[in-house]
Amino acid sequence: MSKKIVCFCHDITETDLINTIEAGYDHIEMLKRFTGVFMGPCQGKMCMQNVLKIFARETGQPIESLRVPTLRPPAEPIPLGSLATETLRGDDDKE
Amino acid sequence: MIKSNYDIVIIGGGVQGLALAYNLAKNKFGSIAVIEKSYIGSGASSRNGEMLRSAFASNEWIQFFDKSMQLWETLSAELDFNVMFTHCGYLVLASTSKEFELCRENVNTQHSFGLKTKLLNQRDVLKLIPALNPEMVSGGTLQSNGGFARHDAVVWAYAGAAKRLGVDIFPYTEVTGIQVEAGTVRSVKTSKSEISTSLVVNAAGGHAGDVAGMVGVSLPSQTYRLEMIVTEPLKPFLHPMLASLNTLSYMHQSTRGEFVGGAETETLPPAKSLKSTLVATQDMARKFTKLFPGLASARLMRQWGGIVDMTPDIAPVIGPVKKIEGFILDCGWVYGFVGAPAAGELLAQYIMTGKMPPEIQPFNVERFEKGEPIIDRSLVVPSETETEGGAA
Amino acid sequence: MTDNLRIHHHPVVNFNHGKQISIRFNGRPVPAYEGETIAAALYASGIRIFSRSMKYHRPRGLYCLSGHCSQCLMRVNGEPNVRVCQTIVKENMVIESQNAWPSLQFDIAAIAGKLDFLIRPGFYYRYLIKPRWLYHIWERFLRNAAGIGKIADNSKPPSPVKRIQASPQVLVIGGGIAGMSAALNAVRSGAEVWLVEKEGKLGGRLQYDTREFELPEKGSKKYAFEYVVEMANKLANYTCFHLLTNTTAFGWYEEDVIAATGPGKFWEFEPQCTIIATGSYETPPVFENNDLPGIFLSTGIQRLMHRDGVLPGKQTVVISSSNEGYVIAKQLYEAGISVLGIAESRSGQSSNACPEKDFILSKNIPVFHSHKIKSAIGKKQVKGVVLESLPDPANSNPGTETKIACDTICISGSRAPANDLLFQHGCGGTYIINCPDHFIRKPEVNNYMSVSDGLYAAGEAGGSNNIKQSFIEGKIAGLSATKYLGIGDRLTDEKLNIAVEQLQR
Ligand SMILES: Cc1cc2nc3c(=O)[nH]c(=O)nc-3n(C[C@H](O)[C@H](O)[C@H](O)COP(=O)(O)OP(=O)(O)OC[C@H]3O[C@@H](n4cnc5c(N)ncnc54)[C@H](O)[C@@H]3O)c2cc1C
Ligand code: FES
Ligand code: FES
Repeated sequence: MSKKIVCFCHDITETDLINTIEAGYDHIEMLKRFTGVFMGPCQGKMCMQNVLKIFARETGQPIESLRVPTLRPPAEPIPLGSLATETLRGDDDKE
Repeated sequence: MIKSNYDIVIIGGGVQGLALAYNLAKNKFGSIAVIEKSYIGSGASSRNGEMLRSAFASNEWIQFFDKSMQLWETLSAELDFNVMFTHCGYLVLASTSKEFELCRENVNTQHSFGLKTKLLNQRDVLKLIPALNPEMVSGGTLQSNGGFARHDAVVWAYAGAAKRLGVDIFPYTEVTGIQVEAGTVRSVKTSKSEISTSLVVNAAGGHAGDVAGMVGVSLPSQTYRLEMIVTEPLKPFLHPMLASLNTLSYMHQSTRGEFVGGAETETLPPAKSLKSTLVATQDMARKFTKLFPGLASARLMRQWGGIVDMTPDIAPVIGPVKKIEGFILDCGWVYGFVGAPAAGELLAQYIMTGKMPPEIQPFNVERFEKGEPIIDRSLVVPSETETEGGAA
Repeated sequence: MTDNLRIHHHPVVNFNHGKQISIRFNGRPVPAYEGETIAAALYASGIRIFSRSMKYHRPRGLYCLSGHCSQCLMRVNGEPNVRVCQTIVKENMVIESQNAWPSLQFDIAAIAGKLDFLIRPGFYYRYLIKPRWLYHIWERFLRNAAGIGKIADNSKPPSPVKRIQASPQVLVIGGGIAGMSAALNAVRSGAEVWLVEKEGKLGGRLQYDTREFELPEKGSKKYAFEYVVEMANKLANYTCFHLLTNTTAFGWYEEDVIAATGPGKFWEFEPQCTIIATGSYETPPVFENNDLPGIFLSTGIQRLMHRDGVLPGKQTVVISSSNEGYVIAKQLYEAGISVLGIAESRSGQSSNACPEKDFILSKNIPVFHSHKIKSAIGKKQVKGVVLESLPDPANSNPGTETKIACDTICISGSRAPANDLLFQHGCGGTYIINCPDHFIRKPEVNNYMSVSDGLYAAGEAGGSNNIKQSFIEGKIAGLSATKYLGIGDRLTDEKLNIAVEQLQR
């Protein structure tokens, strides 16, 4: 059968997600860590909605009852070089 | 359902608490409960740098952690879950001649304890990792049986094996108080119910201080935040784990190809927050692009913070406290990931027999009162007890 | 090399393709026009597979063209993992594909797709434990296969980037219609407004949208892209307006600093007021073969057609769940593509009328109500689509399949608010269902678009789902900010109340 890819970045299919939840990884954080969804170069922009939808459906929770997590930077992938900034006066960075 | 009585209650469902629970159950200790306030592994245990090594520089550290490294070799089979231990080696990088001298001394010590570490010169290091900036390389020590394992997998493996042996694990349950009568532990209050017990283990990671506070004990440690960053996946360029003495940073390339690294940003005060700071992010970017100039165009993709309970000498505190009967410490962990298999096994031995195994005996909490901290000069975290140049 | 996908005449958009130049892709020359993206040049020259997926090495093509999906990562002038849909061509640029051998078109490692059980998470944790050498072999294989692009081979650390700390009165993040509307309403009171925009120009996604509509107080109908150009021009007249283009605000850190990076500069903002107007990401439904090259998100198609002047294909089927499907179908038709059908999940009764729908019906384009996409047909490129009818009183046989041959599938997806910065900052919010089969992460805002003192969310970032709403929300946010700063006049309140009323209507 053809694959239904939910997470493009890590090639995670709908079946993978369902199996993982069935195996007991039923916290969204565990599902993420087990399969790698949200952790690809798109940072979950492409799969977040669909993963949450499948997660809610498979665990029998309404979407509205899921807690919105605190997100972390960066909102976009940023080259390390552009973060390697000069140090300002007052910074006690020692070289 | 939480039963009303357990022979032992372990506070904290991180790798330490779970490893201990597993080892107790394996030795048929009795009824065991692990109480975790969030999901299993939600603390430092699944936020760490995944680094496994025993090539430290002191008697105490080497003995204990090498015991752990031996256990790591067979951990997947023992727990019947592949923890994905990748034997890529662990390189401690020296960038200056002074650091190189330190490596040389450390290798001698390590050899005297039977470790098979190798001293590498600049050429050897650059051959192993050509992407390194030659100006940052003067040599290093390589421990070839070091490496990394998937932190989440380790947590799940221990939790799964412990459950199969009858351990009750209660996630999303917070310990809110501990009842002590006449200097002896009587019960544990949780957000769900009260459990009577005479033995409590404090394996609460970054919250160990709060838990100790529940019985009126103050720990010598403080909670520090450590931060890490991850880049987009790159083709393999960094085979071994790498720790840089010069920049106080540690890094590796994950099985997905991401560059994963963390560093000590010395200006940051103790904190319990898990948020990311801009200072640390910039600091890490500077350090990593200095070590690997090619990383300048690699994109930062994720970052996070985790908290650890850090003692003045960075070594853990394991064992009983004098004042309170039945209150056992398994905290102060900064290298608690690599140390978990040994700590779990040895602390279980102590709890079962009352005899303190020699490998963990040095890590008693009294060492600070006595003014006898353990000095190890191979750590990539700044220790307060170090006099010279912080890190070494 | 065919040039027949280039649009030369368009009823609405005028294309001035720049000077012709040459770039190199995997060693051979490819013609390109100055000012266009690498993606456009490659696509127009016939390239369809832009990358291979990380694990199964599945072929992937252009998809979002907005820098969101990361399926167009290539090596550009020695720099790995560059999003070519967001990168402008330069003479003699060297572009190389990544993670495929011997070529993108034929990649041996795609065998992984057949041996997929070996690399599924459930497999490797449970097996390969004993004997240990088996795991070592597998692990070595896995590690060598990892990654996408090769690390760049610079030998010197980069020179440090200049850090600039700024505390503007108002910082607007995102220069789409909501952000511009907010900025305009704030500069009119004389506030010092800084606007940070990730792309090269103001306008957001409406720059590439040819729909016509009417904004409140504006009188006549206009094309979307005309509105945004007009607003950008107005803003340019204010000396208290400061625009930073090609600058991405990516983090709201614990120090309460908003970090942004732009060409050669690193910005650390501590504004008095912040307006988040970062728009949304279009997200697709899940179906069989949903990652096949030739499947596009509708905003991706708009960018390809109206930004780059390149057609995605010759024949397309549109998949949607709202009137947006008709909007994009009309635009495809106008650009010169045969629209073979529109599948929409709503039933005939619940699908309300709109001018674009009338247009589609007048052209006799078949509309499949109560249909969803079941699968895409094709191995390396779309050859067709299978639609499936949904349960609905008007459908006698739910589950009936309809096959249509086509070379492009246009997905009009749902919109997920791009409100990451707000949630990094720790604002409150919930997931809410905002239309059937779709939910969003919605920040808690009051009637004045305020999340907390001095912090506002406007437009799709805050959960708006139409242009007028985004425009008005921007206005409210801009006015609220001036009021918060204490620099509004007596008209500010009046304007605010009118706008709030308009919104509730
Ligand atoms: C960024 C970072 C990098 C690191 N890198 C390495 C490395 O490379 N190698 C290495 O060996 N170590 C490393 N460490 C350290 C290592 O992760 C820790 O030492 C180890 O995980 C500690 O395990 P633990 O079980 O003691 O603590 P934790 O994993 O923190 O577990 C403690 C648990 O207790 C729970 N808890 C707390 N209070 C309560 C309460 N009142 N009631 C119920 N539950 C409670 C918490 O929720 C938590 O899950 C790193 C740590 C960090 C943060
Ligand atoms: S699609 Fe899942 S992380 Fe990118
Ligand atoms: S990121 Fe370029 S097509 Fe999506």
